[in-house]
Amino acid sequence: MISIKIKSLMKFAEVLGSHEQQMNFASGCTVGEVIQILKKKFGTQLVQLLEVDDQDTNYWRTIICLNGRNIEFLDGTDTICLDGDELFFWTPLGGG
Amino acid sequence: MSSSYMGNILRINLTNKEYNITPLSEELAKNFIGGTGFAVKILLDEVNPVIDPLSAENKLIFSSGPLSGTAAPCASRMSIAAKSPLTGAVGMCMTGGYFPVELKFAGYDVLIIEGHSEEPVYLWIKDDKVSFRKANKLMGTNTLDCQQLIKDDLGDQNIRIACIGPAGENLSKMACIINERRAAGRKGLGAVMGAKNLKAIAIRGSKKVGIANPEEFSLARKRMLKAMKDSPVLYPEMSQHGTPMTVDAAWGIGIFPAKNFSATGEWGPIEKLGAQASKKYKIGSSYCYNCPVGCSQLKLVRQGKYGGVLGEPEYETYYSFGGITGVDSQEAIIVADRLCDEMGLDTMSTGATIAFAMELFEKGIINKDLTEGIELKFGNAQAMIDLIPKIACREGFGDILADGVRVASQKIGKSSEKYALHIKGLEMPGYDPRGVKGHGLGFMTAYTGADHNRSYAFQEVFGIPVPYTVDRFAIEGKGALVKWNQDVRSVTCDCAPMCAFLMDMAVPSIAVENTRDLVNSSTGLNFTSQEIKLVGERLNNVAKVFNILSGLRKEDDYLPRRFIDEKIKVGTSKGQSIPEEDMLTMLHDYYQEREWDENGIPKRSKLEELGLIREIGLLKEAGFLQ
Repeated sequence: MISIKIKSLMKFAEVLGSHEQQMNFASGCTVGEVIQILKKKFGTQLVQLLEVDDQDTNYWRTIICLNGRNIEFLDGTDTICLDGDELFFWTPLGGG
Repeated sequence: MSSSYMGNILRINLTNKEYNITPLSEELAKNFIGGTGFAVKILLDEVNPVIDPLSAENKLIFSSGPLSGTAAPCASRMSIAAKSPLTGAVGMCMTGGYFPVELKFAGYDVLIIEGHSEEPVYLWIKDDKVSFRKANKLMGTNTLDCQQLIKDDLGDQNIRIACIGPAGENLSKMACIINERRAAGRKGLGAVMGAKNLKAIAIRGSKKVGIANPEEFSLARKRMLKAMKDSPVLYPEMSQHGTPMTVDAAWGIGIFPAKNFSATGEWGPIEKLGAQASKKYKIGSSYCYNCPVGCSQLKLVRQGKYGGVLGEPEYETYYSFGGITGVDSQEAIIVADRLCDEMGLDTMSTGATIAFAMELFEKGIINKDLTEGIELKFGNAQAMIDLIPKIACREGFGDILADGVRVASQKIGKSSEKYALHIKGLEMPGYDPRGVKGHGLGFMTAYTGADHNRSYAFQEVFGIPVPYTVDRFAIEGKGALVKWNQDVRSVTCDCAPMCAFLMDMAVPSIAVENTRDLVNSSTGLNFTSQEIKLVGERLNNVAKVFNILSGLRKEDDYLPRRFIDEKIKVGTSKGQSIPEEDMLTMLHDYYQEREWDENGIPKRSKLEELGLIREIGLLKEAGFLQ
């Protein structure tokens, strides 16, 4: 088993119950597998937050980051997770 | 043909108490559109870049834009420019609220303040008439009382006023100009106004802003409103939480600065300072003219020593009075924000300077002898609050801090400059650049100093994939990214103008087209998208020429050593730094994208392409071009 920190903001944090939590997953799991497990655990609310509107490319969707890096720059959802990794749901925000 | 330009420049001379109104030139409009475009071009054309910024030779240039005062949403924006006493470079701030549109209603696109008054005055501008009124009784008043006293004096509660507080009167280089409760916050423009003995500008207008092609304007406006409505962030999140939700965003990617950037990732009180925690303090929202978003969050301290204090802290204030000072109290941040507004101090530079002093105290470089008995450690909220009026009034230790970190470190000595984090003299904004490297390159190269608003890298801070997805840890490609961010933001937000939050949250992928359509239909001009982008590029080059002539060089584009030598130790951006080689790679990449030489001097061919012939002459005369 490996332990991964699940980090999230705003509505994601409300659904997941906290901004940060440690969770255990099977060794060698991929990012995609972790997300599937989380969807099963937290139900339709999480599924809806992660839905992508494929028809509208003007706007952005929640990005998944592993150890701070957008998984698009790794192996996408096939990226293998290691013990101590941090998975972050990078919610659309703005301001500053 | 009707136009959303008022067609007039109002020039007021405080020395001889005269004013005149001259026509706005079509050439200026076609090349610079408005707002910052006008302000920076006029600054270069009329102010010698080597003058003392606090001398009578400096000018304060207030410039609205063609969209201000029209039905375009979120366009009540105004540029204020002068030579900055804090940086010695172009000092330019954008402000919102209601003053920008009142300038248009009074009949002006641009207001230029020249000279110096022998005695304190305030200006009363009512349409075509300008009065110079004695301000002796207003001296020493805070910015909110000052505005109310003037309204009472003139018998009109709907007058809009831009004024300075005690900080500007005392020539603090961190002094700002306040209009309503908005701030032209940074670069010490309040000190420029104070040096002119100008306490306030009151304005009221009765004119209407025309529209050249009402049908096309209406269509363009509808497209913009649709984009705003379709945004997953603008109404759902920004209206509810305002910019302070960036505390969450910055914490999320491990870049929320802590303890003078010495503890980024190690300390980040999201539970106390994040969006959820902020909710219980919110009592309402405040709106700029014709803005349906209402992002400013009114927050109330309900009990305790500061019960009853109302503030509107933005993200940068949470950073400057929360993160880098190590203070995790919402109440303290609200009070600090309110005090800075009243005193007329930039919250960012003030908080950053106090944080600098805190680190010196923690390291034993300064002690209670200098701080007049204050235990100035990170996290000491009371000390932080108590220092604000001392800084504004230049009292005791406050006088050492009153001109920002660069001057404070020079006064303190003892190698304290390594803890003075600034670029060109302007203190850092609320993003640790080690975790958002393109954003950091933007701070390095902004013509105003470490300024997050000249090229906000929302691609890195929020993951927005416009114009493309960006790896925030990478070095490659950041020159092109920063140029795009600077040029597009300059023209769409600073010239048109438009609130920058719309750029980030609603229209990033259509910003240029949106600006083109609204500007063309309101003014009757006929820009293409490419010509719109060139306006932004032109503005950045004009500003660069001013800075070169004022004495700034390539080394002034460098990061503070902390970000080069030290890595972020823990958290989501653990291990990141910007080693010197990487910093120089990004900088040279940017210079290349800009078609500037290896020292950051614009090449003749680029200036010719942009039609900046006078600028070629200036650089040639100064020996920078053949």
